[in-house]
Amino acid sequence: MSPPPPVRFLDTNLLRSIAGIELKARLLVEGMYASRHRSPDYGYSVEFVDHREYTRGDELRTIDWKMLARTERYYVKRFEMESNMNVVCLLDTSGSMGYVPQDKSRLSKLEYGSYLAAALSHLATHQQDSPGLVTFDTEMREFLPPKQGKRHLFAILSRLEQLSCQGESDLGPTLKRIAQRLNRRGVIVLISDCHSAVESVVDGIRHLMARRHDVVVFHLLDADEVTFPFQSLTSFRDLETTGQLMTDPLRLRKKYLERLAGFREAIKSGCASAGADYRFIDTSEPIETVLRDYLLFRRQRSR
Amino acid sequence: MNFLFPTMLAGLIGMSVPIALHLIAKHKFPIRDFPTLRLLARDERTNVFAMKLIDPLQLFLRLAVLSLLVLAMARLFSGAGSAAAPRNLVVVLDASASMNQTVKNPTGEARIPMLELAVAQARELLREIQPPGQAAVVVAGDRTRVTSALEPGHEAALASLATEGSDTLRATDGAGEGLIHAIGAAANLLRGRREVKSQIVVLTDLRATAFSTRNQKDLESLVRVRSDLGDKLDVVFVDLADAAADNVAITETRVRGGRVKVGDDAHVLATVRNTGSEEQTAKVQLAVGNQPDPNVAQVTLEPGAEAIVDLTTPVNRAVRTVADVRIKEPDSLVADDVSSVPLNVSESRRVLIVNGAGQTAGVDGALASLGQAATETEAPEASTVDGATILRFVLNPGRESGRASGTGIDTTVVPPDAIVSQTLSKFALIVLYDVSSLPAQAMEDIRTFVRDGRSLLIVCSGGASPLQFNRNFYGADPRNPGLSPAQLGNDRELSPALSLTLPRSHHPWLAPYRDPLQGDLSSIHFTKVRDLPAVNEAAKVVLASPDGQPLAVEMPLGRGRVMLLAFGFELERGDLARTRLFPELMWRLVDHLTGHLRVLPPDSLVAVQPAVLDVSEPGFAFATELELTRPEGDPLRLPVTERQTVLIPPLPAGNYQLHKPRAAGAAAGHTRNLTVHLDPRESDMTRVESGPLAEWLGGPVDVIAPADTATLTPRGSEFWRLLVWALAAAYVLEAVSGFLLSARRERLRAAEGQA
Repeated sequence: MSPPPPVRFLDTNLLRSIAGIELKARLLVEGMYASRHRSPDYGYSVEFVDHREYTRGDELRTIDWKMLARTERYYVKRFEMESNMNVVCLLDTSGSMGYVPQDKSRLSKLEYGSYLAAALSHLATHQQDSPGLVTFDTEMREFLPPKQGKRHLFAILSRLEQLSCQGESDLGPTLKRIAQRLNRRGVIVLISDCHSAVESVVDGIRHLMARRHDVVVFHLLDADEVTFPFQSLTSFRDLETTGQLMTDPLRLRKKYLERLAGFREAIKSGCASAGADYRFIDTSEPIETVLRDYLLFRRQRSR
Repeated sequence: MNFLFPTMLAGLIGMSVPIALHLIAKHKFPIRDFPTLRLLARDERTNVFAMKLIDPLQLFLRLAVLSLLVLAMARLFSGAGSAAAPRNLVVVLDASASMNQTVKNPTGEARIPMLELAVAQARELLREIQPPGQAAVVVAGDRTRVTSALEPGHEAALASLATEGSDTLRATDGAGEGLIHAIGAAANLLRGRREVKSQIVVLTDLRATAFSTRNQKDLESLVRVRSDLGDKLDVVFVDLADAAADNVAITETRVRGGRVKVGDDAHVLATVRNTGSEEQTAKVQLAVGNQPDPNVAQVTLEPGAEAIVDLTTPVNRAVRTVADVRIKEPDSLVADDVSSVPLNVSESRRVLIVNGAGQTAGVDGALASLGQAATETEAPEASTVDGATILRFVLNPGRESGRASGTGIDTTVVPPDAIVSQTLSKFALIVLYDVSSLPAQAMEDIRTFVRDGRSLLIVCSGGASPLQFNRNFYGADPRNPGLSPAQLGNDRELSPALSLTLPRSHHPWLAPYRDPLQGDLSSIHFTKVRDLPAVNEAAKVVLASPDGQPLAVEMPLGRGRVMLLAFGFELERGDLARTRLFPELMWRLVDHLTGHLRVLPPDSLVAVQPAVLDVSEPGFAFATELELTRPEGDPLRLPVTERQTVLIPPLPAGNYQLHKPRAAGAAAGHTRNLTVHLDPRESDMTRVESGPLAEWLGGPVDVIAPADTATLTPRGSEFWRLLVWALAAAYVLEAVSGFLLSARRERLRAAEGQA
């Protein structure tokens, strides 16, 4: 038995060199179709799930007569419902997402998030689901409601290609407004660095969860933000507020990392308390890994 | 701990430069966009204008390099330790004549000259000088010489002392320029040398005479250097002399009368002085021409007392030699135990007396008359002795009376007609006594005689005819005067007799008689004199009566001179020939007219002092330069000035000869002896104390014994080797750290540039 081929990740430079986000998305999700998600609902389909004892009100046609013959008890067959699920990616386009990392080979958070959203949309389309896209900063900038079909996918991808970062972010109110626009429940994938007040972020997520959305938070941070590798005296300029701070990174590194860890923990615990999935992403991680891990996580959880 | 160059510590100000660079100049910072700024904003901002030390290690190394460099330049010095500390040493060697006295040799039995001991002490002192210490040597001899300028180490200074037979290291025979001048020169060498201790060590016998010359300029120079260097300058005198010095010195030697004539006794007068501190008995001996006289004079002197010893020796021939006076038993200072003086025994001067009276009396008769006149007090009777005979007798009475001694004047008496048969060049003086006329040839010969530099004495007594005399001898035209300086008048009888009074003139012939003790001219009376109605314009009245009657008139003629006396020496014309003044007056007159009365500068010179000598004597006639033969070395050529003088340069003590330049093997010719003797001040053993020294030198001085010179060496050492190594190490470390930091900075900059 030959060993499994090593997982080959797409080089970010190669990813950049590929023209068209559609192709990028297809490459990213190639081989992941087997892991596509199941519908949380049961319905009429060809995919048998399990048996359940008959109760009053069940349709007679669902009774498994063979089981009745073998066990003399009434069981009904349950089938996985092949639903047309909404998968809406909420992509943060605030200024902080446009941070250019020191290592030029890495993707910016916006690029990373765009590719992630593109890949998910691509997966959803191939899964007969309805992908949607919302970009926002302090306001909701783009809203592409979930629809089926490749044309819609291309529209999403086209929008993702044209994104630029600007403005500040205020996740709480923005998520509330988005939640009001999404009437049908579905999977909400929030791709953001969550640079807002933690309470506001958690509050926004709770609003989405209250509308019975399945909320997944991809917390994107650049490796520079995670490791704070700066050495020399630097004047740091805020990407959103343009405020400046002259400081010695070496002196502040320890405190910074402690605060960042607290921030991440607060977001994570907030998500957990709200019932949302939380996945922290360092942009130095390959996107395929993130996608694969997450899909596996979803699949395992659905079992 | 101390610093040899403390002013260099000002370089520590330079340490502020790297500190400023590390605090301020390195505050260059990039501007970086960052998303998570709110996580930082709660902390204090870094004030870019606030002092913030960066690269402290490199800063430390740079400060270390700078501080070590400054310490090295400031010459960190520790007074602790046994090593000799660097110092600037100027050794002043007293090379005056008194340094020739002998002292006990500290390393042996024999006595050695004090200068030799001083040189040995100087060598010991100088050997201790090692770089960066500097050494110099100043020798205070006849002149102050800086034989070795201030140079690091002792090699050059020792080399200047190691020159064997050097004139510089020989004690002078004079007082020189004095020690104050030498100390001033030494102080000038040390001017501005504030870095290390400076010492002026004077090796001397501390005789007061060495400090007698105190030039204000030297003292001011020393005071200026003292104020400049402060307590970094020490003036130390090393007293080399024995506690009590015995010394008897011959401070002066001279020949009585200045001139000795053949047949006379030469009286050499030596001034002997006890300059020591105890009573001394000196045996003094005379030697003429290196022939010692068997007679030895003995004199006992108290300390400070002096005596004039008359050493007599007969001279029988004309000679120019040197008389040496020597103390037979040498004392501590040998140089002043001998003194020399030129002894010139002159030839006889020949005088031609032309007796116009035509009568020459016998010598015996004249002597009898004069002897009678000299002993009798009453007025003499008329004598048949004519004036020319009296003159002949009085000019050399010893010879005329058959004795050996005499005045050195040879006389020849001839009548006027016989003058043409005489060789006039043999004579120094011609006397025309009562001559009214001469043959024309004789007149011309006499005129040539005078114009060539000889003299003519015309004595007009009662026998001269005014008419003939004036026609033959007097000319009123000043451009073409006759032989007589005045017109002759009639014989005038005086009643009462004319008495002479103190002449108003300053003529050298009569100069001594301005002092009545030398001779009272008022005791001379004349009863008959000749009138001189007119005096030539070029003539000068030498002697006149109180009423203004000229009695003696002198006139230059060519290179010679003519004197006219208006009185005769006959006994009936006055009492001149009877007075005691008469012989001396006549001798002085002959001396004056033959050039022997001139006051010449003494040919006995003081060592190391220049002198001007009159060389107008006939023996040096027409010489443009003279040669001075020295005891050692080649003869000196001395140019003769227009005034017939030569400048004698400073000479060491000894006997010299002045003569015309001559080829080897040529005849000696006219030679004049010069003696140069030790400066008598150098025989003075009076010592000076430290009190006056401090006053003269404008500050404290130390007087130490030769055995204490080791205490002069300051102790301590420098850390320059350690500092240099530490400096090199710090520099290398700084360079390495600088390189590493620079590389790291470049790497960061490159990374940030990419960002």
